[in-house]
Amino acid sequence: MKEKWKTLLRHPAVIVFSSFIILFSLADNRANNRAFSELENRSLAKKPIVTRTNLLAVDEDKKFSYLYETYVNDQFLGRDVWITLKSRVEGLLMKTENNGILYGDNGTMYQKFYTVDTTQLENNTKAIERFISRHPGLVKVMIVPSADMVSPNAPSAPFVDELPYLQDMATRFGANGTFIDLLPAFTAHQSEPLYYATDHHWTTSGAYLAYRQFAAEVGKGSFTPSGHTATTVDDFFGTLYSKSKLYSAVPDTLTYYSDLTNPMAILQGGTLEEQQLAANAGLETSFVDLYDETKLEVRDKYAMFLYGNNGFSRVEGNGTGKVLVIKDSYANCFVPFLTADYAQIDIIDLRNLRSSVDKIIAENGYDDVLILYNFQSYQADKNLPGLNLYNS
Amino acid sequence: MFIFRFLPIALAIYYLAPAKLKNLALFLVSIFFYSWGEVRYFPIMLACIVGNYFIAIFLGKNQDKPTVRRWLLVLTLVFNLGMLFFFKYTDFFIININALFGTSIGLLRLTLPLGISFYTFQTMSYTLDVYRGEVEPERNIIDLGAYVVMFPQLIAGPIVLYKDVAAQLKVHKNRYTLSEIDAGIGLFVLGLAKKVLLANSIGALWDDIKVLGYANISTPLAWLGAIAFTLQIYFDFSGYSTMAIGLGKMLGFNFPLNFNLPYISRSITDFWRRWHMTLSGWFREYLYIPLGGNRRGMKRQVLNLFIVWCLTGFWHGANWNFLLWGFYYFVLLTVEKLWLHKPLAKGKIWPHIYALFFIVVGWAIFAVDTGMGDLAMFFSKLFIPQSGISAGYFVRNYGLSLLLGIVCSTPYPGRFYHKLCRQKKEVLRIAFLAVLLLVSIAYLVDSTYNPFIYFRF
Repeated sequence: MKEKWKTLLRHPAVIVFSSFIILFSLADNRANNRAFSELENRSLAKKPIVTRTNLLAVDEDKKFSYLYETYVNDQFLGRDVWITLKSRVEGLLMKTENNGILYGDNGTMYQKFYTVDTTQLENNTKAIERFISRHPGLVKVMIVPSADMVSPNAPSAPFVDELPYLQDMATRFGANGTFIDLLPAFTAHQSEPLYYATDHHWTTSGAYLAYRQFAAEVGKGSFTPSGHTATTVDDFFGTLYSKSKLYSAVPDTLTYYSDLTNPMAILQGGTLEEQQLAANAGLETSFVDLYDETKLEVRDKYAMFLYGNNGFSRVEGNGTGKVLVIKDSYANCFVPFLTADYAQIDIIDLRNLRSSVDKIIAENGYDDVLILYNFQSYQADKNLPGLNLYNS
Repeated sequence: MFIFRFLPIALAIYYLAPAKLKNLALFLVSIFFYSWGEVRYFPIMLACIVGNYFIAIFLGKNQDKPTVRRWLLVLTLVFNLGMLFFFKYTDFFIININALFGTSIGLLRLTLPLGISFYTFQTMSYTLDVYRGEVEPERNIIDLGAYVVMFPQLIAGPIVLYKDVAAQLKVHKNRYTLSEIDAGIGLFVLGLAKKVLLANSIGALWDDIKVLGYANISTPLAWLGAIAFTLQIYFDFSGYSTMAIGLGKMLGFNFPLNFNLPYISRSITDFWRRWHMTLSGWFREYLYIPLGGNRRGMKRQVLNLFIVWCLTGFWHGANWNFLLWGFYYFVLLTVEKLWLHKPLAKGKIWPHIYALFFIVVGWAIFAVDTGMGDLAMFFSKLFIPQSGISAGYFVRNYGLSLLLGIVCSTPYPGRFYHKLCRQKKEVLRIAFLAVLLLVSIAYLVDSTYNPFIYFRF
């Protein structure tokens, strides 16, 4: 036995590596599981249970082995530390991207957007054309170009050139509606932070610039920043950061006009689950104001605007007339500006709405309808054809 | 996942098992490993073991009856190749028959059983050796089963011949020593680092190019992509082989070397002595030499080379580009054999450049597996200088990783490690391996991207 120990001592590598693997495996197995990762801003996988279905599943991501491996990976002991270690090594290797996020100058980040889903884009453009032709003269369309199209900080990567697509939309939507081209104004103001460095949204200043252009188009524009109290929140690490997890990332500052206390009614809640819960409780409607300030405590602070992406919401404004905004999350920090111009602002997110938009328009008699998307979500969105659905 | 769940438990079971039961332990943990990815193909593996077991026993009993032997040989080939053919090539032939005759036979759309290309070749080597009287048929089905499903090399090689490990399978006491385990750990970590740190981080470049579309890239980017793929496939595949060899040592087996610095080759002939050595060795021993090799005159030798290389290409995948890739190497090897043999031996620098050029072009044929149109497009990008998406950003992002990959394709890192292996520098060696292991784990934890390009084979 003594002899055996002696031989073992002559192989310190065996001792070091086997004890590391064994101890770490045991510790990892016993560690408490987290439900949510703040760093990555997403729910982590839970331990799967063996069932006949997942054992015999055909699809890779439904197999028990896949679920279990995802679980082990998600709940890996010290996950955030490992992720930071990788990020640092990537830095040593002078990598300028990670997990589909590209790094630009001055701490800015960009979605790796190399190819357009041309089929979906064409479907969506056709859907809007049909929608506009049923409401001639009423609809304004604003498709926000991506940060990489505008910012001088963007790396010289082969991002999609959105210009020809935007020009095509301008021609086609211009026939019966109005296409608001933001690119010239955004390019002129490119040195200002129009987009967050660590988030895929535009900033409140970017949205304001777009608001001025929209207001000019509809003959309004009562909102001035000087007339309101801007509140800033530091330490905003957005979605691009959550994906790239760059160890040296610099947080953004988020601005909102905290004196706007316009009441907002969420008529159709976010997820199906939430809608179900509300319906069960006999609550079809919940009244809030424009900002969900509890979101300022968590990592994804942009979610504070308009309480996220609800199917149908109505904001009481201080102006006159009615406007309908059909939108993605870019509009969430844009809508507050409209409170100065309209008396009623209705907001539709097609991802969470399953009813006829035409009917809503007929019932309310809007003065203006605005379709507001950013280019990347526009070209991939599968819900835009919903504009022409449910019209029985 | 593998490192912190399967490996410690599997090794513990294996080490703690009584000497006589070690092969059973190895068989069981390997069967679990195989079934983990896909339970439904477990019966195929079992059929493969049982089928070859009985054929070999009958062969052993009938060594003096030529007719029976011949029929058993035919049965072996039909059984093993039939299985491989059915799962891997049926759809390819259906597609081509449909295209040729305008028929519309439905596709089977089978998922390829994990590692089938590797383990059918392993079992065939066993039965063929029994046929030739080179090894005795194995009477213990567990021992044979342990050889076939042995987990380290099951999925991605090296292709271990039965005769390489047969003797060791019968050693029950002191099968492995601490020195072997020590060396095995080192190899495993080096292999892991090759796969995770080099192959994965370089491989993303080729994926970017596929997303951007071959039609949109510039000539410099096309070359950068082909070079990146060249490095990726080497580190991916040789990384797995090195891990397998390391794990083999930890279990007490010496698997054959599979890669010997292929990119320092001085000729294509040299390259194929250094690249996937166990596969080319298999084809040499069980196809080229039985066909007559180089002993039946030049014309016959060229025909033999043609058959061997087309099949080598086809083994890599049921696709025209792999066949073309095999044919490409047939042409190069024949040209070398007939004319270039002597000048290459004399040259100093140019043979390296010559070999690397054709290896990279070869990988381009291999990499573009989405049809001949795409392949033609990519080759027009390579050889007709034209503008398009510039290589600039990719050089900046991947430059250092590519450089590291090139350095690691030379003999120097290997020499550095061997220097560390001298006892005096043990602390340094452990520190070096520990850094590689920790960083590799970090990359695995934060991976949304972990492809293994040899999985299809």
